[in-house]
Amino acid sequence: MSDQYKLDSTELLLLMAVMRLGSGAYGVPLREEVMERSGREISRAATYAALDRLEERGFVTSHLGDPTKERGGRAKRFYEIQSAGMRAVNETLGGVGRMAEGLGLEWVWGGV
Amino acid sequence: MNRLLGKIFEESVRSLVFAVIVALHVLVHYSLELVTPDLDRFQILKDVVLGIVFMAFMVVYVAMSYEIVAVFVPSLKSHSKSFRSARRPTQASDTAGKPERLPSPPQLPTRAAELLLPRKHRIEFLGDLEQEYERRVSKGPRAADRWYFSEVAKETFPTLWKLVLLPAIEKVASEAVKRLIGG
Repeated sequence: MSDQYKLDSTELLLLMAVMRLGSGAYGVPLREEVMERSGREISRAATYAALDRLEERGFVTSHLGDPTKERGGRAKRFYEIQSAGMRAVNETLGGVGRMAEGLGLEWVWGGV
Repeated sequence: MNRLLGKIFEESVRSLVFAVIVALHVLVHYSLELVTPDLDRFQILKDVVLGIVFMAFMVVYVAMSYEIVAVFVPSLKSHSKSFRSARRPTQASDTAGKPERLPSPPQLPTRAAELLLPRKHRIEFLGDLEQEYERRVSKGPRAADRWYFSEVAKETFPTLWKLVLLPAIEKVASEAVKRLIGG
């Protein structure tokens, strides 16, 4: 696996959350998705720092939505996964899967 | 008249808090004097402890005098002019014939966050906080206010630590080392 597509665990979880949420991927639901599904606490600062890194690496793109009343007139920043991001997720999960092979773990995902 | 009384009450509470802080500061100072009466090298330690205690007192004072008191003591909420939550309609009759107002979080932590958060994502960040606050406020405004304070404190502490507290501690420590070597 080339370094270009290496992801840390926060980046991986966030990218997968972006994939899951589709067009509704912005700060609040992204954090909630990660926390609910993975059970891992993630601060807002860490979320935005990781999303910044992903955007710099071309794994996601972002755009500002319209300001909304429920957010005190502040806009949401929506994220969208790119093909490089999909590849990074695949390669990272593939690496984890290969590590898990033959360990007799209870939880095995498809393809392993 | 009610507003004037409210203002007087608010200022009295602030003055009282300040008086307590000064009294505590003097008490700590004299306690340290009693513990270390003649030893010069303990002077540095006293100065450091006093500096930290004073900083802590000032933080408490500033926070209390604005809004934290209002969060924890509901009776003060109606007197606190800067407390935006007071705009929240409490009864159905309050909203009759008026446009609906959305609940808004306390101003002090919002201002602190605007000052301390990295500029790049400040708008999204504060928007996220406000959106989550709005969800929580329906379950209980006071709990939502407390949650908002704690969230802002958690998220801004790293910046506060890097920009304010760490340089202050470094300065005090280097001053202490200089005095130790010099003395």
